Amino acid sequence: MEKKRPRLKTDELRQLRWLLGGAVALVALWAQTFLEIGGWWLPGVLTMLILIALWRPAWVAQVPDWLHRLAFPGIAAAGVHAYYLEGEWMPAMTQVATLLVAYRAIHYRKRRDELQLIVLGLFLVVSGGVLTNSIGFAVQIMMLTGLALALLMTLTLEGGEAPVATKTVPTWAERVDWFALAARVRAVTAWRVVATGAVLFLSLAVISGLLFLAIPRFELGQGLFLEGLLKRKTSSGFTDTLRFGDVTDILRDQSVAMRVEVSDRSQVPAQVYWRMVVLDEYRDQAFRVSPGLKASAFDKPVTTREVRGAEPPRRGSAEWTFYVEPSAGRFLPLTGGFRMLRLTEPQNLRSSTGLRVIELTRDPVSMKAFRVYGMASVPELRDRTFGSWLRLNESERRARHPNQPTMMEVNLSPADMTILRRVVQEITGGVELPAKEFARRAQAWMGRRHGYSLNIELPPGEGDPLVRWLVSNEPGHCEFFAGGFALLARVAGHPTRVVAGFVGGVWNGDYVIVRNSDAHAWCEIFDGREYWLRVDPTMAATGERGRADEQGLEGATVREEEGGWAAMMDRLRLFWYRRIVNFDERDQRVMVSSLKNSVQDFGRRVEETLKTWLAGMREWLSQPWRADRMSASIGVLLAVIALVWSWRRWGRAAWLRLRSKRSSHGDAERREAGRWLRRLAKVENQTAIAPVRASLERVRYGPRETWPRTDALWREARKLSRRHRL
Amino acid sequence: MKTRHADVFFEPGGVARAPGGPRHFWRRLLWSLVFPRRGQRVRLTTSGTVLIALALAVGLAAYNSGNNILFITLSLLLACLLLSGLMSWLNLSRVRWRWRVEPPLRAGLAHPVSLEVRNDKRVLPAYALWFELRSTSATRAERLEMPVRLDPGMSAMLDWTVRPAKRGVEQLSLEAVGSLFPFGFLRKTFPVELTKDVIVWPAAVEYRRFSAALWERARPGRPLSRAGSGADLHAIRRYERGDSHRSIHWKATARLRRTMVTQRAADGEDGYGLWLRTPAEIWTRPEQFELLCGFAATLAEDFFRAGRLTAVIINDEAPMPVRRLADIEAFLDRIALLTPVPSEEKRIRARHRLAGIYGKNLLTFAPEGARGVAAYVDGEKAASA
Repeated sequence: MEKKRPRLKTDELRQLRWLLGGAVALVALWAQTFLEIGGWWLPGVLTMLILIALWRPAWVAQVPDWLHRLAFPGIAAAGVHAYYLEGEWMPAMTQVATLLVAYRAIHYRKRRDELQLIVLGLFLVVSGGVLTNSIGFAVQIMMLTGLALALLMTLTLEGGEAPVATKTVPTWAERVDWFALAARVRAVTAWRVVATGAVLFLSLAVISGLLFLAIPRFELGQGLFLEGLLKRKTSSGFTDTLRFGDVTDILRDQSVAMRVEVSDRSQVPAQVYWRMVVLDEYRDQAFRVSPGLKASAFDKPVTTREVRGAEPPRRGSAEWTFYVEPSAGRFLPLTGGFRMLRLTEPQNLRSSTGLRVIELTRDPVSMKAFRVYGMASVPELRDRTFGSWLRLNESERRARHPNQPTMMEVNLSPADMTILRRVVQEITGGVELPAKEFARRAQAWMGRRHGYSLNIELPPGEGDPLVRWLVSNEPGHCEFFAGGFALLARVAGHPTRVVAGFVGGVWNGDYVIVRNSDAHAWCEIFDGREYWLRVDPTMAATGERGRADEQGLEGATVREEEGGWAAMMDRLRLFWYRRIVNFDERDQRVMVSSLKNSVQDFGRRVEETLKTWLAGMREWLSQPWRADRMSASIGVLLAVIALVWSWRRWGRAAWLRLRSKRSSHGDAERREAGRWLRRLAKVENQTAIAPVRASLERVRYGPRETWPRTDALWREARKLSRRHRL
Repeated sequence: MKTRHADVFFEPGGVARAPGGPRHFWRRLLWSLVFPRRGQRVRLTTSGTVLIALALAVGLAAYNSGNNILFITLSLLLACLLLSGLMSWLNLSRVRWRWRVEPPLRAGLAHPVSLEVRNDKRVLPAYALWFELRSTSATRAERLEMPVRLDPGMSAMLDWTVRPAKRGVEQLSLEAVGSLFPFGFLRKTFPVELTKDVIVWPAAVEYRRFSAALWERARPGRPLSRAGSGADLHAIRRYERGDSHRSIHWKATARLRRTMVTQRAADGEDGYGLWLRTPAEIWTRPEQFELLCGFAATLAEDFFRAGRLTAVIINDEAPMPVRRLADIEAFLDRIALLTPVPSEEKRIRARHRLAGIYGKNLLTFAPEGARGVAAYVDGEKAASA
């Protein structure tokens, strides 16, 4: 007989409930940290409080009563204060939810308080997941689900509601020994129950996965409502203003900026420049997108999922799928012009076909995924409109686009202009050079004077710092090289712009990882007719292939595979983005279609196999029946009959005996006897079958020692069954 | 389906299958999901309402935004609901129950009855079940809670108290089995309709005795020349169904080659015969009839306890000798179900027969006034209630 297991007492169940509630609160606080709202101190302090309350539940009763009375007004005031400071709903809501969760976790809870704790925890985890798209959400939601279900089950087992008072210590909290409770829970729990529970929890994950895949997808709305409640300032991404040092800051950031999948790896050029923002105006020691360029080059903001580009369709062009982290900023990375760009969800954005730039109107707070079709990755960008506009005289230009910059403006003091003209004279030798040639010579000139370094020491003196650096021999980084080149080219009469973005990347499996440390700035110079030519002045200091001896610039080459745990985790993250975050109705259609194809293929294969088999059989039958064939066929037939007969006569009985030996009760043979007894019970004349029935009853109920030979008994029973046509 | 088997275990689907029989686990699961039993009640609890509201809100947000994180949350919430249903089904499957009632039940007295619950699962315990019970006398169903956990292969007895209001048949019924297990989202109640009819004897009544001489009449002592339960041999006769095996006369049986039994002589004027007549013409008032039943039962028990009740007869039925406890219990069972009968004609013949056998000490009953009942011995008033 099975040993009787002890049961948890009501107080022990309540202690377990307290522990599970605290764990729910801790998971919720952990999720809240993903949002990076309000810093780390609040979750840190609350976590400490919860841990203390978990360890010593009796101490909760020591909290003065007035503090309980002030709790809800205080939490509401904290929410109002957060809204007043930030001017946004999301931080205020999150703060209120966090404080409520913490308060519930350090407060003796009723049944409805437990429900509130779970709902608030779910709110924090889900809003954290929605706003960050982080893979951590998967871990958090599964942990929260497990803990919440365990908590609810404990509530169910506990039964009735216990009276809850804030000032008196409940009996369950008076003496809590968590180790003793753990030992009790271990004693109470059977491993088979635990295993079944684990299987059921796994089945929960599987069922929810299947539901996730099967839930029909269609769009009702326009964009994500939660995202509008939170404005995040990008910590390291590109904006429409590039100050010296911005790129350097980004370069020191080793986190991933984006991941790029390309359907055809061979179409990824050896050197990739991921263009994000084009800057035309140099003022106040910073390059920026001038208001004139914004007005003339960009379309009006629209909320859309698709952006059409000017690139003509090309056969065999690859699909580029980008997963851009929010740290990269509001500009979408592109290698050049494109035919079409499709986002996973509608976004408010403005695009510039001429500049090949797309800007989201809000700084993203979560990973943005988009797919680009027919994207060019060439160093020349065609811009006929700008060329034809540039060839007009001044008055005609102003008539057509009064604010459009010529990309030749230099807002510097006369002294600085004099210095720049002298440098240009030195580079060109006083000859008017084509843009390409000028770029080559200017790069060479800069390469001779400057090395590459992230640690810049500007020479002291008057005037613009960029001009001072240009004429010095100090090393510089990409911003200085690009900025200096742009100024020289403009003084030389070539429209030039600075482009900021990323270069290169690392292959990790079938996709490219681009880190924030791959941030870069380079130039595009107009050839005077219709093309913008890419010029990377930094290369003059780092070598033709872009390999740098200096730490900080890896060059534009897409390097080979990454390895190790970090790469594997990154692949997992991409899987999350690809298959979960990015899953849409198109993927669903593809999945259904592939499933349908698989089923059809399987059906076809079965049909073909059957046809082949039938054809073979027909052919075999149509052959002449000679004596040897006849005898072989009859032999096989007889062998099959003998096999079936042997199985029925001895095989099945032996199999039942074997199974019975494994069980001390002989269950298999007892069940077989039960089956025969039920069948023979239909016989009208029971007297006639009494001996067999008695033997069967002995096998069914009697001790094993008294059993007759079971194989003979089954035979007898089968005979009777046949005789009475059962 | 109403079932009245006393010692058979029941489960939600009716009579439990025999151990070792076919299980049809998946078929039964699928069938119960596709076609729930009639009367099955599923009510949302607070947590269930919260879950549904959350699922609706998250679903709305998911379709509004197309955000997959919300779709994951939605699918997880729905999966929780499905898992809850599956676990609830597993919890109740192969849990059986049966009534355990030890008669007699007597009107007006509290009587303990038990519901035996057995968990025939091999691995999983059964948790947090409740049983809704009702008896004929109870105005509303009562709920019996099972202990938190019932381990596989174990049984639990759930004790309940029944207080029958009146004599007759008291029907104990298990109306439903319910549970909040596992997560308390749904309050599920499954109809069971397991009933058990129990006979309730009349309540004992207080009565007043008259004429002490009458009560002193039937004293054991002198043997009489008629059949009885004394020590002296009265006669040898053929065996009849119902005769004790101890009374078989083996020598006579061997000699005559048929089973013969001994008849003993009566030990004396060894007690009273009780004749209970219930003609509807006489017992017109129901409460007076109930008093008659209670009075007769009380007198019969008192006389039996004193060893002075020899036989009983109800209306025109054959006299029932009272020798053992089972005899008086059978008589009380009959009284429990007794109703007024229409005709008096046959009862006169029966009276003559009874009088022929017992001669005297015949206890009869008659209405006394509008409410009372009087007992007469050989026509002389002996007691009243």
